[in-house]
Amino acid sequence: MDTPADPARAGGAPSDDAFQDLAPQERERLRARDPEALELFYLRYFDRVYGYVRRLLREEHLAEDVTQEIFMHIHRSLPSYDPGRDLRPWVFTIATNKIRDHWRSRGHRDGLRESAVEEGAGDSYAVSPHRGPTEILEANEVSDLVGRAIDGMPEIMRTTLVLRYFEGLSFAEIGRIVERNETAVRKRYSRALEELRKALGKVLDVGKG
Amino acid sequence: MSSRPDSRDGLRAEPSAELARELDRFGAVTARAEFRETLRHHFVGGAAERPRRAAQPPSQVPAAARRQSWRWRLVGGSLAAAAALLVYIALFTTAYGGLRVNGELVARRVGPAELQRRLASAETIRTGSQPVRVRLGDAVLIEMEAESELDLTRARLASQAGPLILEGKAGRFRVATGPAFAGTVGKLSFHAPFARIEVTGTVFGVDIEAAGTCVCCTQGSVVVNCPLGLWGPHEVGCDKSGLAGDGGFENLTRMDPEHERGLRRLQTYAW
Repeated sequence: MDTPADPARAGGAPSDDAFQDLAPQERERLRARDPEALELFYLRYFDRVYGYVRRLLREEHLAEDVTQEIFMHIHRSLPSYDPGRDLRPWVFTIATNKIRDHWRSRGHRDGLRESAVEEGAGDSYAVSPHRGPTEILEANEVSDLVGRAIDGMPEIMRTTLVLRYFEGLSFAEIGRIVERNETAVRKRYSRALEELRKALGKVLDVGKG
Repeated sequence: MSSRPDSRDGLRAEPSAELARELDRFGAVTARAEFRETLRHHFVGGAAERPRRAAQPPSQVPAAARRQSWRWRLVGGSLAAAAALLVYIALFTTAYGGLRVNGELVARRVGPAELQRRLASAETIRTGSQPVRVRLGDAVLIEMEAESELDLTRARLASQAGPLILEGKAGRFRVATGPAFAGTVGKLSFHAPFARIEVTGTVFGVDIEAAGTCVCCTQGSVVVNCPLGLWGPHEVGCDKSGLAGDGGFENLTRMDPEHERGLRRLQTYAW
């Protein structure tokens, strides 16, 4: 029933193909905190990092706070960065840890989600797949439904979805960031898509009709 | 760098076109230009100090953040108001039932010792809802009931010679002379609307009422004269009482029990 997405899709999410990471010599200069390299890094990564944070935290002021924390952390950690390694996983590992810190500081609500992940009991999410048409209409915006569906997912599933779909990271890279093997990440991504499809099922059907 | 593998192991590796469309719509986010520039400035220019996030217009601050902000403001405001109220109560609210000394309300912060000092040097005392006891050294002790008003002529007392004049304007009074009375004040004159009471050492009470001024004595004796010289003098002896009014002075056969109780209690005062 579903057709595969166009890999060269357009939209607000950054395309993996369009992204050009810093060259090795630029990374060397970045490690030395050369202002030009910092500027280049910022231009390349700001939108990606902010977008990643914003999609996971959704609220603008929280996203700004956490994005700021991430860039400050990156600046402090640059001397310990190995220029021989890809920059992107390193950046998103820092970003993911900061977001995770934020979620954990919000108390037990997200803690419950985490425990659900650890116990493999991630089938009961906040967004019911059995939404009625009225409820969907009341949601007003489909993107709000998407956001709520993502919010309702366990932490690791949310992270995987956003890193994979919006940031274009490979499953192996995501696995290193979320500290899971590639197969587990692939499963979570697949389940995340399935949950989204269920949550938006009627909307998607209407769109198709 | 990353690949987008097709479906493997029965897993959906990519979203459908419809879902991808909605995801892209959801994923379209743009940072505020002010925030982007502020952070860039600190990141590129040296992140030694933590940047301050560019302020958002109130309309853009999320409702949850606004609620949080208002909650803290409310807590802070309540604490400040409570503190201000306590300070006000401690410093400015009156105590002693609205007692006025020389026309001024006595505040709660005034302690008993300070109150006695003020009363001893007062020229006018007006009680509120509570009685008050005024001690003039070891010479005279005056009890004023609630809602009573008394003027004291201080000049003579300050010189420690000559009569002390107490002028009762309204209310009920009980007066007892003490061990130093003879050596200092010597003579006390109590002026009331219908009676002028001369005292040389005694315990007596004056109750200013609508019908007249009741004078009771439980120790020694007092001499009562008409303020206008129309009648008198009349002596009120020990355990006697009389009523001075428009029609003159009348000896009462029996002391008012309430008046008597107050005087007996005053007699037990330990100088």
